[in-house]
Amino acid sequence: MKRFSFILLGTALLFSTTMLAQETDKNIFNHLGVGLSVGTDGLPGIDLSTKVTDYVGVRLGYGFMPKFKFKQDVDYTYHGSDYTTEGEFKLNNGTFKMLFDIYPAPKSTSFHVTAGFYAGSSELITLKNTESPIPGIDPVDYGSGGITLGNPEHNKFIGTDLDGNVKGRVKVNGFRPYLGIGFGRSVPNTLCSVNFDLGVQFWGKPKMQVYKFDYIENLDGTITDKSTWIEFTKKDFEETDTYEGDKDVYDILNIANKISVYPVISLRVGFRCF
Amino acid sequence: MACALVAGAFAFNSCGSSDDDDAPKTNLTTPKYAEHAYKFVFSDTPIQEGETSTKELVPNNALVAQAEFTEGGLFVGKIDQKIVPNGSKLRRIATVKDMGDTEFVWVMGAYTVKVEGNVINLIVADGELTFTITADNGNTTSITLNVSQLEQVVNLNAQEMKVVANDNVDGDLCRTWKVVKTNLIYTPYENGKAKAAVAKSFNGANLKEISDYLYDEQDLDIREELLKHGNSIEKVAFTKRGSFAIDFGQSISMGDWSWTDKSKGVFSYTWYEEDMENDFDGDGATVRFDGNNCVLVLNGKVRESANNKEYTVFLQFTMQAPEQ
Repeated sequence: MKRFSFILLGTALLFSTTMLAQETDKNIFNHLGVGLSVGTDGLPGIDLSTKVTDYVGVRLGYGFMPKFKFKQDVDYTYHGSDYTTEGEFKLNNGTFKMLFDIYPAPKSTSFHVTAGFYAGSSELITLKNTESPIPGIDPVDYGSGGITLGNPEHNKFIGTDLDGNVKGRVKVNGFRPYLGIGFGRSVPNTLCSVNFDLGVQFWGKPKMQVYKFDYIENLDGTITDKSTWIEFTKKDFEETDTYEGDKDVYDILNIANKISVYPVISLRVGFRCF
Repeated sequence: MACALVAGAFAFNSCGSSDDDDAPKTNLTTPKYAEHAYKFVFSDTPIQEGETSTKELVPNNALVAQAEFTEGGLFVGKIDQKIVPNGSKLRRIATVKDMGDTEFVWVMGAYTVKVEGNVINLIVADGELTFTITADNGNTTSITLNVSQLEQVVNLNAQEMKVVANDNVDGDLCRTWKVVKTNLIYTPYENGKAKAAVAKSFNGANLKEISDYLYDEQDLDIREELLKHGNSIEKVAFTKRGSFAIDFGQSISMGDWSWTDKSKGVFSYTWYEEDMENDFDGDGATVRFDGNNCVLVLNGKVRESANNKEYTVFLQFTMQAPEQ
């Protein structure tokens, strides 16, 4: 619904500004620009831009984001005993973008409001163990369960794959509507220009998920992979009358739940092709 | 406790929807004997509309008190012990007391069907017993019992138990299942707080393996309770006429079930065996379909002290139907 609303908004703005314009550039789509940008939406980003009218420009491009990695110890429980292993977290935030820049007063200022969307992998952050297999797990239990996380009364458990490895992710929406403001023209009036944009991507509430490897030996002797992602929320780590809780994990998830938008700050140099 | 947990309350969750059209679809085929899955009670006491319990009914003949033919091809009967021959293919389950002069016994076996026009022969244990039903426009008009042991054919007066569960979800559930995987979560408590839970998966439902694991690895001895009826769960059967049965290999536990809140998929049950506990401290159990698998979750956690320990045991059975 949010996706449809933003597309509708962008389209409505596009047509309404076109209809309301005192002067219209009859040479629609006759100009092309190229942009290179750095910012939270790409390091670097690249785009093609064109002018629809004096009041509307559109940019289509991709933001390359380095797959930053960091390592962190992860605690887990197996058969009643606590273990720790090192996890490698990797960022996956490269995104395509389609943005409409709306200029309310194109003759006097390059100020614009931007609406559009970004599209990228829904797996924002992935996790895997660096030590393989993870310590403590009996190979008999590979692929069938054994690791519990969070409140035991929630009966959530996961298993490793057949080699004793685990994986997890932080999931957001792959399609992310965007709203922002900025200065600078999508296609410069001269050879080049500098653009500055500030806005947010709406990527929904991040979800923390761990992959539960699960294999079932069927009656006919074949094996079926019933593996699935298990979501863990802050409630799974919240202290209750019968559970001591895990405050560190609870606090992280509590904060993460509130980060439903991703800030975009971008500096772009645009070049006019023709 | 553990036996009640294993063979305890079943709360059937109709996939979270009271509208059957919204229930997840499976590709389960209609069980082979669904069309001839009868349940007869041989008693003159009228059965009330919607009643599923048959425990208190007095039989009207000396050979058979109750006979059920499940969708999955199982015969479960309460019959006179003398018509069960030596070396019978019928498995004796339990002796029923307080039936007057006749010593009835619960038995279970396989049955086949032979239809000749409007005559339906239900052949039990390769012909040890044959129930012949004459039907008229789908209604049972007469039943005879041929007992090979006695070389005798007897006319019987029977009441047919009606179907109490007959929508799509019931059709999927009411068959014979085999457990292919059991997931166990054991949670010890200390001073009222849950300690680190232990999760382990087992192929099938080998209760001995589960109880040995808890005893050897977790210092929890519930072997006596868990293995009370047998070392494993071989089959679980539900019927549309409100019966269920659990085959433990060495013994079988059976009972009647009926909906108490079908919109939430909860049903009540009574065991045929008086020493089986009905109480279940917890949230009940749920059943859901995962593809063609039936996942039975004993969601009600039982907390009690055993060996000076507080703990809960959670069991999740993944079941498959052999005939699909």
